[in-house]
Amino acid sequence: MTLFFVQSLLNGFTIGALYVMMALGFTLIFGILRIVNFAHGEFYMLGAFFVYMLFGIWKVVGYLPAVVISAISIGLLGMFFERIVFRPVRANELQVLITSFALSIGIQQVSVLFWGAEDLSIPPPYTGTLQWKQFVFPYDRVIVVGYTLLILIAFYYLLKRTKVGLAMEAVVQDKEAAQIQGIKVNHIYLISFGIATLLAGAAGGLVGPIFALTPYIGAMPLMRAFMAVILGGMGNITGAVVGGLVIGVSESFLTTYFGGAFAAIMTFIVIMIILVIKPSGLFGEVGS
Amino acid sequence: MFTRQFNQLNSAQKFALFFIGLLFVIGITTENASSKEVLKIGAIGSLSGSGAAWGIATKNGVQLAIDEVNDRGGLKVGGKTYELKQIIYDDTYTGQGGTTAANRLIFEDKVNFIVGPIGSPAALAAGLVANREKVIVLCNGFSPRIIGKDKPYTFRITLSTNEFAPAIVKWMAEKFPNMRKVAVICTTDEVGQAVAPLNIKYYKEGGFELVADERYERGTKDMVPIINRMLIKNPDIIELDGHAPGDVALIVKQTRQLGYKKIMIQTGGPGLEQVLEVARELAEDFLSYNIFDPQDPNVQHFVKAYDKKFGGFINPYCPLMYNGTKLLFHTIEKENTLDTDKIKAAFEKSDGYMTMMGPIKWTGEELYGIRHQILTPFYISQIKNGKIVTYTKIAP
Amino acid sequence: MGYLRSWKGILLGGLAVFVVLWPLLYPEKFYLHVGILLLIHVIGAISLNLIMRTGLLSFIHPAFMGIGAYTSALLVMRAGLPFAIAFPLAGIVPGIVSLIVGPILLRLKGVYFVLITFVSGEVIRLVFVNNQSLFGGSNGIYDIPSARLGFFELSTKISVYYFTLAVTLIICAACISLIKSEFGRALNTINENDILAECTGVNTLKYKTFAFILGAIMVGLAGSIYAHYTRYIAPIDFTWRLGLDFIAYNVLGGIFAAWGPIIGTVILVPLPEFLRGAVQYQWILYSIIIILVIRFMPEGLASVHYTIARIKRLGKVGTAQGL
Repeated sequence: MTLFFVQSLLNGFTIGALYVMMALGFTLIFGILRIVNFAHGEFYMLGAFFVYMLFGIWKVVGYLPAVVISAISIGLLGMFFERIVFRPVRANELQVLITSFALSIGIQQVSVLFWGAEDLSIPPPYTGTLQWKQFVFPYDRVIVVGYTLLILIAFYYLLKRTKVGLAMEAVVQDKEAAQIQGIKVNHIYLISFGIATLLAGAAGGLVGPIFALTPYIGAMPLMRAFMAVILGGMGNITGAVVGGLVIGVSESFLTTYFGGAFAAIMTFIVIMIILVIKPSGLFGEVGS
Repeated sequence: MFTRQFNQLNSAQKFALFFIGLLFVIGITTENASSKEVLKIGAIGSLSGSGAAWGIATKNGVQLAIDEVNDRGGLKVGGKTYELKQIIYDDTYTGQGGTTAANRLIFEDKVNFIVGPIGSPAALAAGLVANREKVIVLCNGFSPRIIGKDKPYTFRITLSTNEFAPAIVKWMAEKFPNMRKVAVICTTDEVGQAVAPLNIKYYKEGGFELVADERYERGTKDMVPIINRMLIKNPDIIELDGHAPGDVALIVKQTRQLGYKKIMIQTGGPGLEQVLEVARELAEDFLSYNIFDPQDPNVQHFVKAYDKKFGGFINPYCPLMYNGTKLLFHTIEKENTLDTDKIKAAFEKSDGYMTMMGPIKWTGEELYGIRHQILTPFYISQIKNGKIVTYTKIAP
Repeated sequence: MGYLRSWKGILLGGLAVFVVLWPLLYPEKFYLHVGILLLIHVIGAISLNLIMRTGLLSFIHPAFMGIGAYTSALLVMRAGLPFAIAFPLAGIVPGIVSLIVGPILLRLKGVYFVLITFVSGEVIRLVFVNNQSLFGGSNGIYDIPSARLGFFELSTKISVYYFTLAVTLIICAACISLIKSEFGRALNTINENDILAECTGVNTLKYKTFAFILGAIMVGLAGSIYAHYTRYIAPIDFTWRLGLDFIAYNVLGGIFAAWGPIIGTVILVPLPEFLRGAVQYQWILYSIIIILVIRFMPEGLASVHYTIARIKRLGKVGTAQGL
């Protein structure tokens, strides 16, 4: 049935857009800081909740400004956590993993205190669906894809054309050499973490109105970001983009054609196979 | 700030500091003793994790029932008056959590009555411990094994699918005689394994045709692929059975967005408020099993009390936990005893006790082997024009 | 360190007496319950320690505990085997599974190993969840009989406590002697620099696999004890969250200290019970404690004397990895 095939494909892309944004931030943190950030999903969740407060509860700004403000705030929050929580333990992989786990649980539970555990929703900024022949595109999803593209372009520009971006790349390639060149590595770490969490927060803010909000919504995007990054290669930007889309589309297809339970197990098994055969992913480690 | 000074301490000093900090934290979080004679009422619920909504519903429902009694002076038993106090522990929605919480309530806090848990793993586990110690458990869970002859002290104080599904299916058959094709969607976990098959069974017995039975992993937010799978089969009725409210809301929203125009019903849950909140105009015409009618004059005191003390959504399980707790207090005072064997026997004879939703009946002999399943009247509601409207009341 | 040895001896002796005698003097049932869970978790922590010494975080560990638990429960309930046979099999079956998957998983390192064990654990959990007829699905297995050893039925908390204590002591003794032996030193070298270790003749894959399998066997036994004590098991009791707990016990106590995992467990298992007064803040406090300890005492609490020695030698408080 071509209808469902194409619908599946489109659907996969829209959800893939979300995964791309999460994967980008995740891989950035790993590529530059060598930190596996288990709390990354929580920044996504907070991004959604900030928009919920700004746009849904206090109603002080429109939707788009709310997303921007929320993303920037989450970025700042991320920098705060990098400086206070991660920097002292950054040297030891084991400690970083556990710290980020503990941080993720802590953030989740604090959010429960603030917002409770019931599902909340952001008033939908865009309603209606686009109907073209037999294909249905809910507006909100289409727009998410659009914004993601914009963000991606901005991100690439940042990485390749600005001083900060080049400095980030230098740090990845050789930390000591970069320092000798006068790059303040600690600042780069801070900024990178901030950008990564900003991306997660933006993803949360954009996707929030499509799905419901609870303090636990961070787990799934985190898992998917992980998978996308494994697929594309840890620390590899293009890999993150490709990985995110592939995960989104395959999830969509597997579920549509084989059902949810099968899709879940299949995805896990495929990830395991990749990890065993080529753990560095499709595009290998490091380098953008 | 103090980092430099801190780094100059050796590890033993740090250890000592850590311990002192720990003691301090424990100290400020432990509760004080009360002056009046206190009767502790145990409660177990998920206070963290994804089941937290139900844990909080238990906590609030029990608390409101307790407040009512305390406000009129206390619980009068055997010549004494007791101030009631709720002790609730987190079961983390796991078997180990349920066991530990029950152990603590029974052996440490020495309660005779436990309300909750909601959720099969914890309820099954807690029930094991409680029944061995003759502690009454008023709980909920989708597993049919929660009550049974081997658990004489456990009562299920919420309605399960077996109790409301047949009547709802019958109502559907009468109201929509031309809609015969049913698609069922559910999660792969214990809800899906216990609830969905029952709904399917009752639909089939009711003369409907099952065209799709879809399962997905809990936590999935993007339901569109799986909804697509259902829509391929062209159903007349989409049944949402035992879903958690948030998931129901998402499915309703996403299904309507894809252009499905026929019936959507939840014989389970319920989660009407969330559906309205999340799906908004797309929630129109959504049908659901409902536990109480907030417009009913009989429940106003509860609604007002809840609003005043807690505010926000009233999780539908809350009134049921409240009712169960009230029945407990009523029975204690009526039998004038705290002895659990006597209370257990009295419970079994309490048919006709009036709750704010109507009189209760105990049932379950045929299905579970023991008459420990509560039956109260329930409703079928529909969302119309952005409001939850009670369609009809069904008294079993 | 002569004075420490005699200090230590007295401490150990006192501890042993306490651990064995307190249930007789103070048989509070709830404390017994926590004690039993604590011992089970000690087994989990110390069995994980072997593989953690090679620098690997394994999230498949709780799944092995689950396999042991289900094996034991099913063998007793469906196959009618006595506990005396089901119990060792509860260790052997996860051991066999780890033997099969170990060499595959252990080719990966660092975060890749974390991920693949995470995913493998989930797959195993899904197998339990989706198999209703055999494993009871999401609702698990209910009403597992208590362990029966000959004429003794371990149905009281005290009896379970002593049995678990015996098993835990044997396992701890085995692990600690392994850790202090050449085997343990080899494991440590794999963590420090595995390429160098290979050059000095340490077959890293063999050692890692051995540690992995031993760990699986021991935690499988713990799973069996758990199943016959709580008498109800469900897939939700064996998720990666439990794996995180085991890891936290090790980190808090000190991965490279022999007593580290034990100390970490002894502090963290009862901790939620003390924090219950602040019911909704329980998990927040737990996570803050973990973050603070890792930040300020990365060697763990048990490594106190190592750190003192290092301070004396180098004049500064230590950084991350152990010795």
